[in-house]
Amino acid sequence: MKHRNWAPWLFLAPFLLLFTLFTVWPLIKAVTLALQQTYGPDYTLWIGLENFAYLFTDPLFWKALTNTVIFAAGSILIQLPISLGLALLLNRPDIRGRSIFRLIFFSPALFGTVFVAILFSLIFEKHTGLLNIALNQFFGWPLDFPWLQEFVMPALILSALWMYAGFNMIYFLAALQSVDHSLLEAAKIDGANAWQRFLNVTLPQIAPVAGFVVLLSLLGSFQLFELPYLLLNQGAGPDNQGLTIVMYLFQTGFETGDLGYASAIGWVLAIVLVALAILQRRLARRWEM
Amino acid sequence: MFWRSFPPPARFLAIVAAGSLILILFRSAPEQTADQMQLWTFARNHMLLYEPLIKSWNRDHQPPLKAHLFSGPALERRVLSGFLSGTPTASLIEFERSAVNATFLGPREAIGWTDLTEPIKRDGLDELIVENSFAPWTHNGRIYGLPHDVHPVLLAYRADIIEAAGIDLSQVETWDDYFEALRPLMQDRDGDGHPDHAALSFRLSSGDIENFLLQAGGGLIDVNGEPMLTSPINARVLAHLVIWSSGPAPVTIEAPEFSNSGNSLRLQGRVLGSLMPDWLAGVWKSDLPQLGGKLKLMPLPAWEKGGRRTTVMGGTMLGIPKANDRFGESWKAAKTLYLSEETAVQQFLTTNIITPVKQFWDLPVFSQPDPYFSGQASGQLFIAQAPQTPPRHPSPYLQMARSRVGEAALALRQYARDQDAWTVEALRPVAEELLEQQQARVVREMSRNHFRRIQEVADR
Repeated sequence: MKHRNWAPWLFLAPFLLLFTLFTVWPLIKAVTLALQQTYGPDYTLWIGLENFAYLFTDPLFWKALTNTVIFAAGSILIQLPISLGLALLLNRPDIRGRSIFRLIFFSPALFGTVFVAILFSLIFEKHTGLLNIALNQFFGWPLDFPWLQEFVMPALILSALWMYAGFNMIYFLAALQSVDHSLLEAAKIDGANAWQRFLNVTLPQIAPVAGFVVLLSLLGSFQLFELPYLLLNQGAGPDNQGLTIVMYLFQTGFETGDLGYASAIGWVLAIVLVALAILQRRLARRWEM
Repeated sequence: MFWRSFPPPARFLAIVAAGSLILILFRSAPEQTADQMQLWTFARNHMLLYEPLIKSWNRDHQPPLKAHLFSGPALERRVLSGFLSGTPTASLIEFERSAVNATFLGPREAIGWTDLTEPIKRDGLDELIVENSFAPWTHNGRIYGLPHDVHPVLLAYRADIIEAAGIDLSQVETWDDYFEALRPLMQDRDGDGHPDHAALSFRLSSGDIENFLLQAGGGLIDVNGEPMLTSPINARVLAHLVIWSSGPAPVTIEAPEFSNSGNSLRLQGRVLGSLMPDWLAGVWKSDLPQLGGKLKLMPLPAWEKGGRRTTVMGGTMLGIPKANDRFGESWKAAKTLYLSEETAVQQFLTTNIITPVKQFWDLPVFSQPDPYFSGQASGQLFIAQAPQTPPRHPSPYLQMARSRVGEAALALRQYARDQDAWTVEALRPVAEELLEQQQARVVREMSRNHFRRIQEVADR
């Protein structure tokens, strides 16, 4: 008679129990919720795929998606090159006080998003905001420039830039410090100029880290919520200029109680994120080849 | 021995974790206990006002009443989640107009408030209180809250600047009269490229727009809870507001309340006039004492001669959750807190808010000269307009309707800029079209609410 060994199952049981309770069950629940209309947990109606059908014709969802994509593009196309530039600068041995500068550039990431949002809501104010005053002093910029009224997305991208440029710089710095210096020296001896050395030696070697940072920024951008929510005084700003997908999900689920529709938004967001991650992996592999 | 087997940092972390846990357990959110009734509010000044009344109540009544202060959003979330999921709430809850609409979204039986229609009628409170004060808390003909206020709106203007310029506003009847009278002050005499003063503080945003729509007789939601964005009055008002705020000779300036920039503009004298509900007068007295004696109040200029000289801003109710097994005591406490003469007096003295109870309007406190408003009897000025405040009807789609009107206004401004069209005649048809589009969006969203449809079928 074969004796069944229960020991592995016994040791796995706590994990399996917690995993089922807190991951598998919520996932199943999220699928069923997306097929319902709800008013809190007690009032639910099965409506099939109506939430998804409505979602794809919902102008607010498209607005939220567009805003989120613009923010993500801003993060990747503006923030990451600046982070890389800072990292290249602060990786130079001839810069005095490099450690201090690294700390200064990294320090905004130590503040909470709530603090940053409140700080920038003051900085972007008309007439009395630091940014308009400074721009007015140097360039004659209008003091009543409406950052948070008509230029919400640039304001958000600027705030995020201040907060995360130094944070991403640390990843790039770590990658730059692992670049093989003998290759750089060989390229220099072969007559490659600084730009050629960066493009053909440094960049390929930091590519895996760069890919990782791009993916992190993309995921972070698509989950953007606290910064616009607080910067825009717990709303999405005029004409929903600051509405992001997660904010729309929050408003739908927790301000109006329609957890079903919020769940549908959540699934679409999840699919977008998975697609982005797959795309990034494929591009990274192609780059490595 | 066991404890010593851990390195010192781990011991430190364990102590911090244990301490945090104890703190959380002891400072958890207030739970309704069997031997206590609770009042939840979001306003510190209300809390201060109720403290002596609660003390006096507790001397004669059991179980005792205890007040708890929450931040506005925290209270809103806690109450909504309580209604939706059955977590405990309080016996009495003060709720703001903007927050209450979400509690009316689901089926009728899911409304978490006790229907107060009968008790209000039985106790004759509908005769005692200004009629329109009930409107924001009346859903499908049932009243779910006791009104805390009326919140009529006057115009506060910089008497020191305007009178020094020799301008007399006593003959002003309409908004056109008002802007015309102040035209001499809206020049760029200091050469900084901006007019030295703006006649009115206004922002082309959904909240500010609604105040003017209501004054003109338009609005967002009708008495049946249906959206009324397409009202021709709304289109006319929107066209005016776009011209006032963004036209070639703007007469307004953005000076948001509770903001550094707004207060700074007010103190500099850049803003000559502001919409002033009674509660905001109390806020200004505390936040902007420098303006004391420089301001005067007058009824709002009307949209046309003989028109309404006020509007309404803000609003609070006292509701009793359905999941409350002490309705009798809660109702008595609610009436004591909201309807007593002492409340009426103290409420005005501490917050400048006039009571909705008409019989107290003759109290001497409302006729006292107010030094902040240059010796005018601000109480009587607000009271004179209180009966004319426009009704506001609740709807779970109010916020959506508000946002859609805001979007229409911004689109109208863009049209005016693109076409360089800055007359009411040119903008009004475009405004009508934009409002129709936005109304269709709200209706479409409402039609998605199956609970509402089922309720409508059942009612038929």
